[in-house]
Amino acid sequence: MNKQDFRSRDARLGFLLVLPAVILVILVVILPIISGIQISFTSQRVVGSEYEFIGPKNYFELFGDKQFIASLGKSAIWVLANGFFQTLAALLIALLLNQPFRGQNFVRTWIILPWAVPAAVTAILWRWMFDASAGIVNTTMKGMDLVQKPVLFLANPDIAGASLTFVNSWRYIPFLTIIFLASLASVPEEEYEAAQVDGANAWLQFKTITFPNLLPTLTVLGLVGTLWASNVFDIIWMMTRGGPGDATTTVPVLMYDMAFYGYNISKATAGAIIFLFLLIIFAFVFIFANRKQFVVASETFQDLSK
Amino acid sequence: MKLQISIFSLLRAFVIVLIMFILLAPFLWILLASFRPNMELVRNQSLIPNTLTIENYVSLFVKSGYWQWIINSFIVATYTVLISLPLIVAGAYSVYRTHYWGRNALSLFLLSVYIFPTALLVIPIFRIFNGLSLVDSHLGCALLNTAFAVPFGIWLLQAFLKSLPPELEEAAAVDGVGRMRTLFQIIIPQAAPGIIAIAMFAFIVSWTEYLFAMTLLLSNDLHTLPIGLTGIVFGQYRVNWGFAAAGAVGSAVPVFFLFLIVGRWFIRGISAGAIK
Amino acid sequence: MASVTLKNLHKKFGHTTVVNNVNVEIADGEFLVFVGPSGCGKTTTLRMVAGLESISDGEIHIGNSLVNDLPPGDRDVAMVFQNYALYSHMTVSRNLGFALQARGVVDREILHRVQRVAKMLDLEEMLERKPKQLSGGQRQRVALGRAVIRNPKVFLMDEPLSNLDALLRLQTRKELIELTSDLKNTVIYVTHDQVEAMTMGHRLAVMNKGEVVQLDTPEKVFNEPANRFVAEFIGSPPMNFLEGQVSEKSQKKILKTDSFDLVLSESMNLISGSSVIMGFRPHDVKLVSEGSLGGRVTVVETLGAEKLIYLQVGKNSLSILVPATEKIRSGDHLQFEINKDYLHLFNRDDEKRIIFSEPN
Repeated sequence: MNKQDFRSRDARLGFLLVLPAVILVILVVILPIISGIQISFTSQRVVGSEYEFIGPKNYFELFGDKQFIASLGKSAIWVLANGFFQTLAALLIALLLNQPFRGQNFVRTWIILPWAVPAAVTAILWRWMFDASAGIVNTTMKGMDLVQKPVLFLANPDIAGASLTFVNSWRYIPFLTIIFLASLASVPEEEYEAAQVDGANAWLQFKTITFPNLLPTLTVLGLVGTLWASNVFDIIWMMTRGGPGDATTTVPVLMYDMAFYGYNISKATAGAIIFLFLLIIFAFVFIFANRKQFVVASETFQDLSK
Repeated sequence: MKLQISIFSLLRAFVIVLIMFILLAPFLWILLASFRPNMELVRNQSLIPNTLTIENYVSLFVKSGYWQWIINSFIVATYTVLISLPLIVAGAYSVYRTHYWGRNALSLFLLSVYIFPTALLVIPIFRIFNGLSLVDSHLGCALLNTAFAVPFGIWLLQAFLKSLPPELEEAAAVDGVGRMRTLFQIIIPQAAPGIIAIAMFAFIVSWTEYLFAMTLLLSNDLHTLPIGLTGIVFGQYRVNWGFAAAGAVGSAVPVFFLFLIVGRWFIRGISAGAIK
Repeated sequence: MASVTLKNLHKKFGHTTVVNNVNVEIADGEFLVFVGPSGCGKTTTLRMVAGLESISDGEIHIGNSLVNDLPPGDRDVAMVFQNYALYSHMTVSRNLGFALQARGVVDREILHRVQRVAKMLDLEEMLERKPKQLSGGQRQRVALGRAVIRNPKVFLMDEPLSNLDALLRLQTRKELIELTSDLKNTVIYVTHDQVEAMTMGHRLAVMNKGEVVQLDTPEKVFNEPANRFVAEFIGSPPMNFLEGQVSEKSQKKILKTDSFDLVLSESMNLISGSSVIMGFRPHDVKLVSEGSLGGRVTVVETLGAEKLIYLQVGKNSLSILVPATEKIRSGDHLQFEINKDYLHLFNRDDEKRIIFSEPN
């Protein structure tokens, strides 16, 4: 069969164009993972120090390490609260902002600001707002007689996780909202008009038009958002360092602490590899379950004779 | 019926104002705080400042490395944008507008970078980058930022690229216009709003990046804004809130101006259907 | 200028055959129209000529050369797309000149040709505008101009008028006929609109389900449709069809349908007992005051100069065209007669036209 058409001819071009991105990802992601696996089987304690090959000893130690197991549980809760909650909240906010209203352009431009500032700024803002004696949140609540004693948002182990989840959401929801808004803007207006003519109510319109059109976006954000959430480090590190106690010590925080403050980089890397392995399993299951949504739409070129 | 509608829209307006308040009020609050003396911030619990001062900004601009940090941040962000734009545009064009077997898998492979536990694999990254002489270099930092900006950037550009009619390339092909010329003179100009949005995305990714900069930029005079800021705020036993507030404002202002100028392009650039 | 030959052309998408054994020879300077319903393979055929689709089997020649393996840009063809595919970031002038620029033509020559084409297509005032600032008709002319400026061997046009509104379409159709007959380039034109096909084409290639079912002049296609599909597709309002059986009664062949019996003329020497489909066009019927055929009027459509009458005749609904001056209302009972000179007969099994040798 002759393959010399306009489309098949650009296979080589397409491959060449994507190659630089692929090489960069291999250099920055795949190589470090291989190197990390290698480190995890050694006894190295600090960067550059002497070490010997010790086999899977680090892994066995970690599986018996209560702190590590606990951090896995905290990470799971963190991912559920952040990945899932954020996506849902962003979707709802996007739906709310999608209907025209006065000041829509202002909102659509400035809503994204929390995402666009460094995590250090976020940490300063909210540590200051959450401060027990001078923080605006506590002073306001006391002024309104809502609480007698100041709430220790970051120092109370029972609520530190929730406070961090709030701050992290404050940071990422705007970005996710913007992506949903962009996706909503791409839904053809005619589809809504047709549905309105057919007398479909708001819920039916959402179910039959909005949701299916959002599904590819929702799926990619479901995957990427979960991975992002699972690897959040900076905001936790800067606000609580995993504390109080171990209350907010997720896997990334524990491993970072173990590597650079507990001087055991090989064991920390082994923990990283275990975590990576769990994430890969999640990604495979997620992609397989949603495989239809991940197909690049190539139909544009495939339309048969009109 | 009329009443119901107005109650509903009133409720909606209230929710929108509340959300925007939660998202933006902290910035105003910190702005206010940055002009108050630190002692007053700690002791005085009133909302209205008694005294206004610029001492915090004097400390920031004169006594800290603020200007150096902001220049460094701009250097890294500029590198990141300059390297990631061609990679994103070429990659997105490849994945969404050319045809070859396996490009589905390839686009997924690229998204898989986000599996990577950044905080945990900085050690091997450091080892590899050390071998490539990319440690203690802004370029090395930008390369890392690029690797994490490119995959999602490619995905962000898809809506715009997919909305361009395939006849654009077909017309060019029939007219004997080469594929690269088509990309540069037809597709890229047509996708300009998308590309502006991608540039903003890459800029923000780099501007807010903390971990790679902290790991790779060892020398003090190479530090970026997030590193410097973290140092002045969390390096001390007692946080100087006035100073910290000024630092936060100083870090947010460049982004504020960026959005003031090109902010409204962002949503447009990642939406489809700009070409009708 | 060149001829185009399509030889045993096939196109398969997976297991679906979209174009099946198409053989067409298009003469130098000819205006050939591929016409057919949507999905018939006409656009795919055109795109294969352009080089935008691979050829599954068969050959395409332009002039004397086999172009199967040539990329689109090397075939010296120009294409006008249904959605025009204008470059919206470029001015009209740059849109027109872009292909020449890409081919390395010198600027002075480009300017000269842009101006000539702009004059030809009445675009001189718009040269510095962007496509967004143009009306639909003007955009269409820019798309046309982009093809004309290259003076290619062959123009390929894919439904170029279908995005225009009705009045503008008529006017542009006339202009396009004039333009192409002046330029004398070969034109391959694709449309689903049979009126457009009839008025523009020197010859029509009527396509159905991937095959060319008839290739002939508009007159021949209209007067002697090769099969029932062509008879139904070409001509408006569409032809009436009745199934029947031939029998013989006192030396005369009679066609028995479930609505009425019709005595056939002597030249139609059919074998008794054969099953046929009879077809006649609505305007090949005339009203009579006393006749053997009759029916009740169900719907009257006023078309202007004529009226289209739907008649219930036995179990069948037939349409007939009468002068608008006839006063007819639904419910009336009408007598009519079919002009047997324009009766079309098709085999029931393969629906092909039955051809009678003329008695002389």
